[in-house]
Amino acid sequence: MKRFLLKFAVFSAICLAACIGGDLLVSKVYQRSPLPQYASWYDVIHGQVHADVIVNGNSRTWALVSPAILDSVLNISSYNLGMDGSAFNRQVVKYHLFRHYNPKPSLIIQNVDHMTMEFSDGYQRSQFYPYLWNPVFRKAVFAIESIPVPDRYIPLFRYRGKPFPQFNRNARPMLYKGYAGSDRAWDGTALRNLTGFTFTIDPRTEAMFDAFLREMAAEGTKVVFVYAPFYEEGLRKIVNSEEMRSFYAAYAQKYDIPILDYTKLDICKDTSYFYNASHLNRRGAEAYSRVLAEDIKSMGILKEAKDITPVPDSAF
Amino acid sequence: MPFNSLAYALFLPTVFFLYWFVFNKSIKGQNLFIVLVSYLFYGWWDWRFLGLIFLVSFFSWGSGLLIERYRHRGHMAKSIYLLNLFFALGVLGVFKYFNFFMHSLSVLFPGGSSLFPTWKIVLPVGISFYTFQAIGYTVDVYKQKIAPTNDLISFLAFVGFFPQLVAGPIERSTNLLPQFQQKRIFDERSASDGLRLILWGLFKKVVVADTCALYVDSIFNAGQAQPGSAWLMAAILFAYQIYGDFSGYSDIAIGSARLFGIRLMRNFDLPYTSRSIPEFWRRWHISLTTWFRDYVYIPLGGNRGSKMKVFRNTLIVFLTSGLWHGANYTFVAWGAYHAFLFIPTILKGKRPLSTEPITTGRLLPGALEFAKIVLTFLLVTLGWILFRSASMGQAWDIFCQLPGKETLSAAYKLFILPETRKATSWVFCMLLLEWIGKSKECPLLFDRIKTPLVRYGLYAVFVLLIIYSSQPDSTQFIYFQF
Repeated sequence: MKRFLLKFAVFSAICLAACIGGDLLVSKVYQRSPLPQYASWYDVIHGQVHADVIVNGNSRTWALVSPAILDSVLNISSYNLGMDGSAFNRQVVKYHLFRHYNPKPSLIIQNVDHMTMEFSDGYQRSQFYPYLWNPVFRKAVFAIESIPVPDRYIPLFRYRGKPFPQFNRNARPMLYKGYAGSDRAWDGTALRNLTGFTFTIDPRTEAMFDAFLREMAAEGTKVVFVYAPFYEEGLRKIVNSEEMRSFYAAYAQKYDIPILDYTKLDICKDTSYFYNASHLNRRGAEAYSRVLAEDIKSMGILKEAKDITPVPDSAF
Repeated sequence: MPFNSLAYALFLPTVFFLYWFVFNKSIKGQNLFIVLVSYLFYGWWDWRFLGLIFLVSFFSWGSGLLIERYRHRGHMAKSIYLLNLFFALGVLGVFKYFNFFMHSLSVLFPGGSSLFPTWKIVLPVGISFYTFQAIGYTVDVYKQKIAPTNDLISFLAFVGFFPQLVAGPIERSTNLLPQFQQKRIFDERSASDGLRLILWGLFKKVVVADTCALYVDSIFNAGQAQPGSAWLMAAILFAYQIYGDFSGYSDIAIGSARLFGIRLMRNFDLPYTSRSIPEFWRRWHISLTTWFRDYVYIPLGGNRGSKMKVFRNTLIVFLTSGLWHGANYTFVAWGAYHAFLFIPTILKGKRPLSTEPITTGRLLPGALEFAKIVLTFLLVTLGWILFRSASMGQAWDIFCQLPGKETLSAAYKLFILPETRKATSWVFCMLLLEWIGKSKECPLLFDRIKTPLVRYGLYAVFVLLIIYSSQPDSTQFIYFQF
């Protein structure tokens, strides 16, 4: 029995070492993946975002705001931190991780809409896995994502069932500074079947939102709220639109934050600028980005100040 | 808890340690512990049916004792024997077949749905397996192949032993019950073999079967017309899915039992190397086919009598075997299909073929043998279409799509299509390892590699493959639904 147990212990140790090695290898390869949900983290974690302007939000930022256009109009460097399918609880974690590794921006353009105040947990969770060996990243993500215990601590287990990532150094990046414009054609099926959008507030997310705005005010980082374009028929389906606007207006007043509303632009009447009711296609995104950039320029709120002090771990 | 779950990975070593280090003071203590953990294992699936498995076990145990007590009064013993059969089959019939027969009758008669109402019945996991195991004991006692035991605990352990409780192998009382009545000695070699079998079984289930299932399910569950080649590819991959799934489960069960000093019977013996349908049925789900042979086919007369009688007996066995698999006409049709495939053998009056590996003394089969193997495999695969189809209608639609030149393109599409080549690669790995290790109990017995660390490294590669290949929403073992 003793010999059997000893042999089993040696075998288990070899398996554990193999799993750790396998996990490290797969994580490294996924970090380099050109797929948007992974690529958007690489620049952030590797300190490659030196931006005067940060655009923050969910997929209605990620696919709608072109940093190339912002840069050319404003003559600055911008970066799109938008996260697909993610409410503010995830957005703020990504922002703080960005600040841990990158310099402070002068301005944050924060997209707000009916989904911003929800609590995201689970959608495209695998985007976090390649960085779970990073203790700062791990602490930040574990605070908001209910990742199952086996996925957290058993090496390689979290990658089960996933295709081995294609590692191609020459692969054309699918993102430009975090932006993923879409060339999809208009599809009104979801809109026809939709009963309505509802603005909901998760108290945890609201608390993070309030704390974030307070922190930006304290460190002197300007914030602008933006209502991104919405196809007009879809906009009418937000059942508690007034409640939503009152909510954001209250925070705007509390922290002296301007609100830019692009839900009434001419492009909002034309489906050729959208691929669904709430997302502009590339053509629409570029048109919107130009208008946004011109408005930011005319507001004269950009500053030159740069603070390279990273966000302390205690922020997580 | 499924064998390919973290829960089982924690359960098994815990039970192992308690079994050998805490409850090893007495046979009774160990058996009682086995009963408790087995019931815990079963209750993990559905605690509501713990009472049922105990009831079936108790009835069978009690019947055995009563049969022996009243053996001198022949008709009394026979009545008890028949009563127990009626009870066990009745339990199976109610839970598994009641709605099937009610629905069938309601279709036959006008206004049938009100005359023959169906009930909301949950099918208890493993009922087909443990009822047959209990029935086998009663028959063996009646036919005096085994003396009845008055030790209820060891009998409960025999029926409810967790490695084989929910999906077999269906054990014979003459093999398994005596093992619970004697002291188990830990054997390092046997335990090591057990671990290898568990690893091999997990590879077949998680890496091979579940990968095949991705394509198979996408075709069978698509709900729309597919070209003939797609159906043939899905059928071929299903053949390996069900093999990897079921033989994988059996290997894990046998391997787990070895850790406790218990030897279960082998359930699969390279079935897809069979040169004929009768040989296939001596290599596939051996515990069930031998059960039907001994308890149904031979009592009916076996292969004695006229060819018509032999075919009748064969048909009854395969129809009931088909029905055993599930309450659906597709399973009955599958059984009938295999019965009809026996006709050439019955007409020729051939003696049973050997189950020795076909290339004893040779590296590869000869051309004729290879052709027989391929033909047998294709015939079995066509039968799997019936088995996998949701209805006779779907099976008919598939068979109508198969004839045609386009279907033949499946032969190379399996290797080149992105959606099939991964599964095909794993199938080939499995077949290659099985072929190389065909003389061994487990292909992972790398006895020619003398350095333990190198062997462990190879086993670790399999562990990595199993972990990385496991699906987050893993497909259930196919035979759990029976």
